[in-house]
Amino acid sequence: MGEVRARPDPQTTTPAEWRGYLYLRRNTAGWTTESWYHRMGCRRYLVLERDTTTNEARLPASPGRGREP
Amino acid sequence: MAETVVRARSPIEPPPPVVVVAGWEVSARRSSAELTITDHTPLAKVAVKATWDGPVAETLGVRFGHARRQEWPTGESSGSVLVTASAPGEWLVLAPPAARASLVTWLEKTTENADELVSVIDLTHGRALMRIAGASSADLLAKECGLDLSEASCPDGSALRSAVAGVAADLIRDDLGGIRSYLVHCERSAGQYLSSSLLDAGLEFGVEVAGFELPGI
Amino acid sequence: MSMRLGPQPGEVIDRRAEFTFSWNGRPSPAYPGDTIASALASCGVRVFSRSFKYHRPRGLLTASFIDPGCMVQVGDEPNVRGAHRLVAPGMEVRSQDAWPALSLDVKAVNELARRALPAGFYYKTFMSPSWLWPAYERVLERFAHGGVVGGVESERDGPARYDKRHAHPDVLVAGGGPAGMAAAVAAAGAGASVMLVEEEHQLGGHLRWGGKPDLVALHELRELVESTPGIEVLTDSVVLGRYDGNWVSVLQRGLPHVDERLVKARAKSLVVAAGLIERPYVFAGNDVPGVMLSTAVRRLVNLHAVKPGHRAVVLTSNADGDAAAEDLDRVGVEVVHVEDARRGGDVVRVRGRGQVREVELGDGRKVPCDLVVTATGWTAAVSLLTMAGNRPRYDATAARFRTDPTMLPADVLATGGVVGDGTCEELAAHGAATGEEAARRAAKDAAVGAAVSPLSVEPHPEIFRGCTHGIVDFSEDVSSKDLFTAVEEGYRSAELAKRYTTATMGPAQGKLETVNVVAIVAEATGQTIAETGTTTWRPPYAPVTLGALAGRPREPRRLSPMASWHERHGAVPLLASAWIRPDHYGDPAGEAAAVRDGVGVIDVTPIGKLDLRGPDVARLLNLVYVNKWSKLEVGRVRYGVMCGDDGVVIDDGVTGRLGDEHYLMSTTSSGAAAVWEWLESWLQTERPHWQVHVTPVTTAYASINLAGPRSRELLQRVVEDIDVDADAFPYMHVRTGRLAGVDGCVLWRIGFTGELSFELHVPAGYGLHVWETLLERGGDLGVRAFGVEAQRILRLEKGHLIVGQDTDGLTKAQGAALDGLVKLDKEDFAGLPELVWQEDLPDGARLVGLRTTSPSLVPAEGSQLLDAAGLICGRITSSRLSPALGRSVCLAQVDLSVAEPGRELTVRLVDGGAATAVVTDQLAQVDPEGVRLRG
Repeated sequence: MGEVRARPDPQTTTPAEWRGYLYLRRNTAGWTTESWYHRMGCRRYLVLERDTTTNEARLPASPGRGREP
Repeated sequence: MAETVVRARSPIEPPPPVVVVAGWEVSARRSSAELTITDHTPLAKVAVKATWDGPVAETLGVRFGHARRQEWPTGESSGSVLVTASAPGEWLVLAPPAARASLVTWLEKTTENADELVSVIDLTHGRALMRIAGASSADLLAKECGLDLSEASCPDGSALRSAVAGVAADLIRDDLGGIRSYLVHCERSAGQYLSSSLLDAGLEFGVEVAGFELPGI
Repeated sequence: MSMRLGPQPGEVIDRRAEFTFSWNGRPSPAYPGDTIASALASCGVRVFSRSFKYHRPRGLLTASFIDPGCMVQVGDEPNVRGAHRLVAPGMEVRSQDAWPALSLDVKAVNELARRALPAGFYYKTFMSPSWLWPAYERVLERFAHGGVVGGVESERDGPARYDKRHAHPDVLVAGGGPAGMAAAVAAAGAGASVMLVEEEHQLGGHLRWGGKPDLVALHELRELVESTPGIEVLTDSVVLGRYDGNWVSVLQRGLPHVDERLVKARAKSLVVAAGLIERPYVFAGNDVPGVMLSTAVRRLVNLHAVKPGHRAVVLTSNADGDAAAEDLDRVGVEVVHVEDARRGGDVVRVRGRGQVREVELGDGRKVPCDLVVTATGWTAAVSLLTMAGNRPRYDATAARFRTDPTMLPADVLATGGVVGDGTCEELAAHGAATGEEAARRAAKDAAVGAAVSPLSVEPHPEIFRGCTHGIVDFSEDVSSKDLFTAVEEGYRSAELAKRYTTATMGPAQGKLETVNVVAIVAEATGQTIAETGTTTWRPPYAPVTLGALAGRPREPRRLSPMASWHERHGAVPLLASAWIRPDHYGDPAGEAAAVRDGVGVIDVTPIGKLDLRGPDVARLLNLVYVNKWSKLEVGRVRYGVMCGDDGVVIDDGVTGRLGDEHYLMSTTSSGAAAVWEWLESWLQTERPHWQVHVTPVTTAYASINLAGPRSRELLQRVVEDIDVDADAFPYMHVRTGRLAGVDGCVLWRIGFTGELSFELHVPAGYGLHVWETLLERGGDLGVRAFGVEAQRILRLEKGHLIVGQDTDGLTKAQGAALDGLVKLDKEDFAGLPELVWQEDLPDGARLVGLRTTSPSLVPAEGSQLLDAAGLICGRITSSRLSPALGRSVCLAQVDLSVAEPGRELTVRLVDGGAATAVVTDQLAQVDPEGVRLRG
């Protein structure tokens, strides 16, 4: 699903910040944190780190976006 | 407005002759071919959703990626049910057609006091279900599915989900009497398409269609 | 005259079963095991085709899969590799690209004009005047085509059959020569499941045309492969490419019921044993029929028992060239002279048109002959290794580009000729060690295995081009002179020279040409070969048909439980996503009228339906919809619109509350899957602590919309335990119960068509029963089935928008005239900030109703709208002739500045004409007060 990005607070955000969230990507050559969706399988979203130059993937070192309640 | 018992239909057209079994229109065909595909859509199919490792998971007794028969005292038509877990936190319980209502009731009652959100949903009409049986059933599936079906990756009692013939489908390895066999199910509207695709893939292995017989599990 | 020899020890033909096939209409004899080329060569055929650009006659060069001189048409199949395809009884073979006849080629006039057609001539000529381009095209077409597709009578019934299959071998061995066979046996012996892929029709590689000891070793290795369990052998199959994680595609031919099968394999370990490919020598006349490589000679003689000529001159620089000379001598070909390049020998020029007549040696002597054999070096087939990320390096001692096997990814290994040289025993030993290692890695055996000791590489003289210019790329007709020209013109690297001249871009994709190209570019630029580098080998390794890539022509189709009824009643099918829906039953206007006047039933099963349960459902609804949901009572239904975080409308539908913590959401049919994912993404990533279960039930229910003033009457005839009177079942409410003997049905009272209507959701297995019951019981009410087209007319008359039709990828809620629905005082919902900012914008598009001033004129959807100044200010999004009003009704997206009722706009019609349209007061043009809905 693309790079993981934090959704700004809709009550306090500015147009520039919000549109950055909507449209801008860092597009790193190297390790990037991405959200993936297993559409044809378990239908879970998961956060992975992937090296965009080698396609190597790994689990994130720290808890990703799936925050515990 | 008294009615005779209404017939239910599967999305997969039954090859003639057509008879009614447990309220469903099914094919009366029998086959002695080594490889067969049978429409098992009449089976009761009840979905349960809960956390993958909580109290409900404990009760159901089957972990993600597995399928196992359970003997539950579900009611007058109790007997074996097949509990499958093709995705974490999702179970689909298969039972003979007549056991449908009592199974739903039993599952609702058994899980109602669990300390978590549980949903019990009757998906009997929401899934098209087929059984492929025969030594070459894995070879047939290998033409339409990219999963590794080898013994090491998919032993008897495995429950997986992937694309089969381009549609998302659950795949359960459930050998019968030592013969390799798989249950495949997809959302109902693609049932005829999936069935036709699998028959086409099985032509080179001499696949034949067989009709549904009770109990079905 | 017959060039067939007596029985040869390693021959692959079966002399007991001679048959005939036809070549350019004339019958020709052949044996099982013959290729088209070997069968023709056995009859003395020497010219098989004409070259692509200059239409020079061409004979056999390599007599193998990549032979550029033997592409033929077989029946309706063009571009068949004649030196690889086995002949079959009755096969119809024709030459390609040789109008009007192979022997007399009018296009060979090109040859004479060669000076005017150097490399890249098409960049410089046929440019102007540009009005002549169509004429140039017609001429160039005639001169530049391969075989013929279709239109040729074929005796095979039906189209070519294609197929696909997945495989998961532990070890995939690419190449079935001695090293490959040994690797497969060793890997299987170590417990791995093995797939062995061999391009040719039999395993064995170069052993097949070798001497007695080679044949003995061949026999032994084949026995081992056959007797070792766990090896699946695919012959006449080629590995097309290796992708990330050893995702390997294999094209398999030679199956009984399928022409070509694409095998998609995920191999834990890949062993590349692709061997060596012999290189042609570049000199004047090197493409004259009768000039061939030493391997071509050895194949023809030893495999097919065919004499390649009568009088031969051999240029050799290695043991294989020597062996070729011996083979020729053994079978009675007069080996007039052997030029040894290791001792300074050379061949300068071959003379002859259509056939070798004489060869000029390095020392000036001219020797009459009809066969010139060259053995000037080997190219390692490193393509798969390059695809695995390894860049080969030039080794001047061996005159070869080589891979360093230690620089490969852990799941790729290499063995055999592709990494070194050796006797058969040495190659097999290396193969076995590699196979064992491959099996170990596949099993993820953490123990450190013994390192595979490398194969040595024999030194070889560097022989690429002689002292004259000759053909470098036989398929593309690129000569060494062309490469020199390219370099002169500034294309000084291998990559640029390749692109400019098209060298290596033919069917062989560089296997025969690349190294010679690099060497000649190096020569022309004055750099070394190592400095010049090499081009990149990319998949596919061999050309592959589109049919093989496509496989079985099938697309998923979704059918409603009432599909058979629609078909039987003449429904015209509408393909919507993968659904097949009834567009109409022959009279959409009549169907729409039936709804307005009486009652109609429509199959709306594809509508998305999502079962939502849990304590936090209302919070989820508030988050994804623009309006408020906390106070929706049990039994009530509400319309909602969803926007993305960019404020753009993504879906709409109604959601009803069936219980305290149980809701049923409906979505558009095309949006069903997307909305499900949308909800899951919020629940799993942004709000994981919310307790909601989402279960799609789109196809668990057959959905039927019953609409029209008499719909309640009809409904009363099928409900059994639900009170559907006007007071008991008001507008925008939901009920559950039993219909026509079926329990578990959900009914809601909503109104997309603007009439009194009810949407029934019936457990799908009973859908057809309920549908037929409704039609049966409503006969006297005039009930009629209506299709999607009628529904579109009805909803358009009511101004109800369709997301994706009346909105586009930029339409925000305000633009869809939904402002009233948006509750900006909610704390958070998808799209909130954008909709807040949109409120303040003075411009933007708006959805308005439109009618043409000329009532019967119905403009096409998509027609542009112009303002008084003639500038585009909008477009028509929906447009129909309204049966109820007898005139056009339209919806349009227009600029805010012209979105006032009464404003006149010009419609630019499809035929270029213009019409006037007026913005209506309201979107709904029939029953704008909504009286019928609430009845």
